[in-house]
Amino acid sequence: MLILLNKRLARSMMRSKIRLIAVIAMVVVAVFAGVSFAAYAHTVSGMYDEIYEDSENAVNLPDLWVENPSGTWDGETSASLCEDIASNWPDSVLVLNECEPRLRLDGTMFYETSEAGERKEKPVPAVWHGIDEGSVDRVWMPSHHCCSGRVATGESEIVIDARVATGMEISLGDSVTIGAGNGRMNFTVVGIGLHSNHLYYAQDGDLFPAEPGTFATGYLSSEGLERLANMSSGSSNLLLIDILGTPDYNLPSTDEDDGPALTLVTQAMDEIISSSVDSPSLIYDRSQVFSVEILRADAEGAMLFYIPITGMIAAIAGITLFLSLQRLVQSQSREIAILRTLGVPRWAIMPSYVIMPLGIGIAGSLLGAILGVYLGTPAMLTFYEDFMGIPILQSAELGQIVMQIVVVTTAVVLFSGILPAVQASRLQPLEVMRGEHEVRISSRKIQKITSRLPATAGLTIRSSIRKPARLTFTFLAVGLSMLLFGSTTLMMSSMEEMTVGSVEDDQNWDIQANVLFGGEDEVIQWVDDKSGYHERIITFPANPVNDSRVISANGMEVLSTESSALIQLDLKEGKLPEAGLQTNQILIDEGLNHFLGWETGEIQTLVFGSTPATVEIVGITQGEMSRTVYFHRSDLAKIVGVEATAVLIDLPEGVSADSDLGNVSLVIIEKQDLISSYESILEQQQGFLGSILFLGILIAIVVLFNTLIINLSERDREIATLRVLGAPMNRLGWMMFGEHLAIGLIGGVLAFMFTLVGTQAMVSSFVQWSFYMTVSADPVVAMQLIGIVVFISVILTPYGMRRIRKMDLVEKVKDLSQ
Amino acid sequence: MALVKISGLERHYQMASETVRALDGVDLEINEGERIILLGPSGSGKTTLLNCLSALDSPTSGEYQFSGNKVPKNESEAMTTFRRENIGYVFQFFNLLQDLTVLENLLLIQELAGSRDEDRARNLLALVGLEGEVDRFPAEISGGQQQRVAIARSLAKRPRLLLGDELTGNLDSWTSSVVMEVLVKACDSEGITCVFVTHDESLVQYATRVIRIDSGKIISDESGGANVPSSTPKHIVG
Ligand SMILES: Nc1ncnc2c1ncn2[C@@H]1O[C@H](COP(=O)(O)OP(=O)(O)OP(=O)(O)O)[C@@H](O)[C@H]1O
Ligand SMILES: [Mg+2]
Repeated sequence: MLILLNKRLARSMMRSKIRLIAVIAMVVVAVFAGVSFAAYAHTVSGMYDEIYEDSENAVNLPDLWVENPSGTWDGETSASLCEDIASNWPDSVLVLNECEPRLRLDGTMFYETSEAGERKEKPVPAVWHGIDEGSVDRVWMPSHHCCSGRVATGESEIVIDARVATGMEISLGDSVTIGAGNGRMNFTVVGIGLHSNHLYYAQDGDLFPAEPGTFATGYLSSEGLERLANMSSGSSNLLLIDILGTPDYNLPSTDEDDGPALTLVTQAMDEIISSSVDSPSLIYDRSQVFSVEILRADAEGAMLFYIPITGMIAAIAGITLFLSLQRLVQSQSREIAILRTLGVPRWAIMPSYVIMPLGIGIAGSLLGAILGVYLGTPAMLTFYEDFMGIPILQSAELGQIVMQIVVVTTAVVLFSGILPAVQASRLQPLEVMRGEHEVRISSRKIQKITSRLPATAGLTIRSSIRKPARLTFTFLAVGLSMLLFGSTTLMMSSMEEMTVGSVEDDQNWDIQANVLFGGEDEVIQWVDDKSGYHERIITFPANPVNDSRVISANGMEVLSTESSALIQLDLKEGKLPEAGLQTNQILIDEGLNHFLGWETGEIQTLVFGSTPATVEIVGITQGEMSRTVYFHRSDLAKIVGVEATAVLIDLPEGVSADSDLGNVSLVIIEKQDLISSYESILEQQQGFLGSILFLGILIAIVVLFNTLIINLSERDREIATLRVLGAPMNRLGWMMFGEHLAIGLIGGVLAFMFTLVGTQAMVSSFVQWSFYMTVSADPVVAMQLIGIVVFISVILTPYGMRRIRKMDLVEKVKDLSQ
Repeated sequence: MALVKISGLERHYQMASETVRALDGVDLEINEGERIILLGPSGSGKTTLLNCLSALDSPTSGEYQFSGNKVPKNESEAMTTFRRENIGYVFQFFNLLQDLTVLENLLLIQELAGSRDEDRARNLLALVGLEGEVDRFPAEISGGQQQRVAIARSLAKRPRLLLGDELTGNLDSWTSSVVMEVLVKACDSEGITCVFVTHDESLVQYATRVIRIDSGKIISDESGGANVPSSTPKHIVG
């Protein structure tokens, strides 16, 4: 008997082959995605630590940096600062290992391209490191095809970054022309490698990796860089402090201090430095080195997200399976009832209904794991290598990861199968025989509400909401299924708005020329010669009191919310600052409001190096990805003692940057380059996100399809009766259309709400000091989501109609009379 | 003129090894107002004949005229329209729509036929003795009551031909006689022609004509225990 029941179960599962395949496919997808993400997360998070280690093939990342943001220390000062640090090292468990002065300068690389057969020189922003002893923060040259050669030792030798080598097609032995605000020189490439500051290859202040050919970094000998910048021997603007071992440091993603010992050392160092030199200096740990932090945060995020992502897809598979099995139990209730009447015990009914989900879970997991290990993981890691340009030397051990994911997925799937099985075992034979188990009487209230409607409409409404649990699951499944698609779309649109959108719409300059201190006059002269318009700006690092996190303080000639301003501010609340007051008035960005709780109207203190400045917050701006405050330029100049760090230039039609401008500026940023680099990043990501979108849509279609088909097949009896009684097809068609439209609309709105809440939760879990964004209800995305759900739902009407048309009424009447 | 005129009707089922002749040359004329009981052993073709009469099924060959017009076959929408306009159907299992109240079950049929007439629906329910149950859901009344609702429903749109397959097969003998009494009364007052399939010989008393069928052929055709009703039907309403 039981064997027969199992046979029947298997047979009816097989009959709905598409549905069975769909559920298995979703399990496959869940495991596949889980394994791929997990492999990525585990691979990269272990990898960075290995790169930063103090060992033969690693770079020995400093634990603290002391930076002079407003100039350089000469050789003597550099050496004495390190001596002071060593002799005044605080009483701590942390032991000083090394203090190495280093010179790091912004500069330009003169990149020769040939455009339409014409050789053209393009000044590209660059960062040059002069590496002296190189016992701390060395160049990383792993044995991998990315890298080759040796470190620079001679005064005209250079190691260029691997990304520069590929992006500008430069190889060993080539000569490159570079500058650092003081003319240009030729250097010979002796090596190709990577550096901890630029592992994540983005320009300063930029969130995304730089486009090939738009950014350069090079690792020179200290003599080489001194020669290039015309500086005296031993000059530095950085002290790299290495502590024995790797001390814990305060992670920006947590609220408490994760490295109290290091915090104490940092404070002590601040006193040592400020008692030795007058110029303001910054002291910070790894959390303030953008490349280090963003890679850590990315790995942490991946670690955090792969389980929920797997769980979510598995849950969607689970709901689909749950609905299918529930339908199955219902259609077999008569058999079950007969068995129960014949004396088969309750416990004997359940197993056959549990075996099915178990089988589906195991089969799907196996296939998903195989695909994940052999296809997903390599694809994911290759994508990472291409996108980041960081070589992966060794991928993580997958055995345990696969086990973990398979267990999670199978558990979710099994759990969703158990409920219908319990339901099956609980069926009361008598009720089944009388047909009562199927009938959940419509509530009186709904009957009252719909009694005025035509009986056909009333019937449609009542039978759709007859089973509130099923309806809830339907909407839940629809909502969840769109989550993947929706959140990706929403993120993409927010990203685009914050990058391309904000630069294109809110910024009206053509070129930003960064200058050495005091170097702005030559740039302004150049602009005047070209009859352009200019504004000086100051960008200077600051931080809150007793908080090492960096804020970029912008001093602007014009603070304006007008669309004609060179930089248009998006004021969320408050008003624009006035210049020249006793207490300087400033604007803060939304992220500062979020992270520090600073509000409009408050008086706060910002620290510039070691100079504190009291400021009054008069407003909050939005749209900044990194933490920013806005001053009037004249106010900020008084605090930092610098008139300008860059010049914003608006050029007349037809005039563009040339080598003359390149020679007098440190770095030239062209707005058009910025936009196209954002665009190409977004495009690059679209390839990856596109596959997620596709997956999301696929899942949504499967879930919607499955749910609606179950909905329809539950009505078979009803519809057959109506057909026998002479209900015309178009009438049934309209009934069905109306119902699907309603399900689509409600499901679509729910899906969007799910998406919004889900995306906001996701975003708020990964925003951090150096990257803040908000997600708002984009009406375009909302329409798109609702439209898709309605479309899928409504497109199923013809299918449902075909089903009815194919219904064998003679057969059905026989059923109806049995 | 005869309401139904059938000649040489055949319905074959093509099986793998043989052809089953479920109907094998049936000739039949039914006049308006007749009440026919169709008897025969299991598998003799009763249900098949009924399905052909209601245009639920299409005959393999033969002629079928209804009220002088050819009945459509192999054309699902035309057949549906024919059913909607002419045929009433009572199932063995009552097949009321569970989400609609007793009254609404009747209203639905009227809506499908194009005219909602609540008074008539209420009168029909009164006729079958259910005036007190109009607002209940089918699950809230007994099997015999449900079958009476089904009868009222089949009459609600004033069909010209009412068909029933084992319509009392699911009821005890006392209830089935109540149901039959109600049915006869209603059909008489409405002047509706009926064909009922049954295994229950005792129902012969309600028929004006008894047809026996075996192996797809009519083997006898005689008058039943009831009188032919007066030729001018009195409508209970309207
Ligand atoms: N779908 C079908 N395929 C093949 N043969 C069929 C089919 N439906 C009915 N038959 C055959 O046609 C013949 C007549 O069937 P029908 O259902 O009309 O019998 P019946 O007189 O209604 O029997 P019962 O009294 O048992 O209901 C039977 O021999 C049956 O086996
Ligand atoms: Mg039969």
